[in-house]
Formats: sequence, structure tokens, C-alpha cells
Amino acid sequence: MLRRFPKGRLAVLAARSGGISSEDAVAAAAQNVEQMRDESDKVLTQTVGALEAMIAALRGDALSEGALAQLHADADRIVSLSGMFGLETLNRVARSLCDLLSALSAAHIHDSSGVVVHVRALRLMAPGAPAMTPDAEATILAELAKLVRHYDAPTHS
Amino acid sequence: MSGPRLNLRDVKTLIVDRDHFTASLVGQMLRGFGMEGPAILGTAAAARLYLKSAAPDLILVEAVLPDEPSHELIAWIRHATPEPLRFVPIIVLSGYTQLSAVRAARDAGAHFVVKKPVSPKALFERIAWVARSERPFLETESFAGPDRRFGTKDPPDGAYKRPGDDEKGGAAKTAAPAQSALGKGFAT
Repeated sequence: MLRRFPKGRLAVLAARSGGISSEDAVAAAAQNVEQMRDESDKVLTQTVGALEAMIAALRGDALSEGALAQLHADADRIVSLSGMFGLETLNRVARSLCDLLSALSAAHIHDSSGVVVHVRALRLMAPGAPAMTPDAEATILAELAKLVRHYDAPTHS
Repeated sequence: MSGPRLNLRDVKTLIVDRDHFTASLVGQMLRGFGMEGPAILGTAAAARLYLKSAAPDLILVEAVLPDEPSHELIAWIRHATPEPLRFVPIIVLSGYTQLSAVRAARDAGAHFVVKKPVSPKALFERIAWVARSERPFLETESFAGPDRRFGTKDPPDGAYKRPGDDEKGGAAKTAAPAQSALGKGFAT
């Protein structure tokens, strides 16, 4: 085994005098990101629309491996963007969809009905949708969790 | 108390992520840190081509790429590129449920995994750690990459310490980011 101690250019540059404190760096980064909130909302809306279009195209047919992968990529994107911009309920629905897709993949289940319900919930929570009461949000999240548990159950594996 | 100061001006970064918008958000974070705007590429193939003529100082790569698993790209960088590129710090950006991809990326020689959604604080902490630690680089027949047995040790006293840094200010030392924040499976 060869053990080496390379000093990369990042280390050399970072060690120069001057620079920025972690607090200032994080604050400036957060400010830069915040400036992209409106654009992010548009991307989120488009991504939910893409999921709806994919589900509509299925017309109740089984999910193919390709469809599962694309759904997963889109759901992951919603998790990422909603998390970055503090859209907590949308984030939780998207994470639930990711959990469901993982359970379906692991159990080789191609039933799309649980996915359809999740995509409808995403639309209800998407930017621009009418605000819901906390109770209504909690009810939806609880029902989605039941769905995930159903498909994640050992009988399906 | 102020945190660590880093001078990241002129640092060149490559982001490889099929999701260009999310990558551009990460790019905005890097600009906030004082870094140059990153190069953003969407596929491993584009990254391989780019790296034949460019040598970024930091690479951020999405765990799942559209044309090949990111661990193959990381392994190629670690084994098939010349120095100093083969030692370049690589941080993997993982999605919500990409555990197997995260494990593979670690085993291929990534430095860190940052789970999406990426926060400015988490990203800065990892970059600071990568920049200031003296983590050795191991090369064996089956593995090339940073030593994973770095635990929670701080960099050695004085490592990359600059004039004016002192322990009270916390500038000279950067604690290793908590393992719990790195995603399941990223064991040391």
C-alpha cells in the first residue's frame, strides 16, 4: 500500500491570507440562492407537471423500470429544491414518493396507483397552490405514509 | 466566535450533475463562498472529455449520472488521470435515496458525501475540511483515494495555518463534519 500526502491546489489557495469567514460565506451563499427562489418555484411546478404527464400517459398500465427511474429522478429533484427553499410539506410528500418508489423497485412491484396518489398530493402542495390548513396537510401526509407502509410490507418483498 | 476563514478566490470547480438547475444553485453557493463560477456538465462522458484538458481544484459530482454510475467516473479520475488531478478533492452530492450509489462512490475514492438538499453551511464545512485537513491518500491494487480512517480528528496543529489564525478564533482548525450528516453508509 502506498501512502501519500499530496498538497492540492485547493489547500494552497485556501491557506492564503484574506478570504472569508464561514459565517459570511454561508450568509452570502444563502443570499445568492434566495435570489433564485422564483425560478425554483417555476422549476418545481414544471417538474410536478412532468410527473402528472408521465402518470397520465401510463393510463393505469404497469410502471416500467424506465418510468420508475424517471419518476425517481423527478421526485429527487423536488426533494432537493423544496428542501433548499424550506417548502417543508412539499418536501415531505416528495420524500414519501421516493420511499414508495424505492419500495416498489425493491419488491419488483409495478402498480402505479400509489404513485398517482402521491403525484396528486404534490400538486396540492406545489408553489402557487391554494394554502391548506395544517390539519389537512397532516391528514394527507399520514395517508401517504400508510400507502408507503403498505408497499413496504414484508408480504411484498 | 468566528468560524474558519478560507480564501477560495481563484478556486476552479467542476460540477457534474444531470440536473442543471440544481447544479446552478450549488454554483451560486460557491460564488457566495468567493469561488469562481463553476463549470457545469451533465454527463460523465462530458466530464471525462473536460478533464483531459482542464484541472479543476474541486469536483462535485452527483451520485447518479445519466450515462454511467458516478463511482466509475471517480475511479477513472483516481486511477487513469495524471497527478495532480488524480488527487483532486471529490465531493459526492447524493439524492434522497441513493444509498448504494453513495457506498460505491465512497469505495471509488470520493472524499465526502453531501446529501441533498445541499445547504450552504454543510457544503462550506466540507470544503473547509477538505482544504485544511492533511488526510493521506492511499493507493492499493483495489483502491485509490483518501484514507477513510480519518474519524473526527482535526487537522494537525498548524496544518495550512495562516498568519493571524489562532486557536481561540477557531480559524486554524476545522472539525470533521459529523458522520451523521454524511448519509447512511458513509462509514469511516
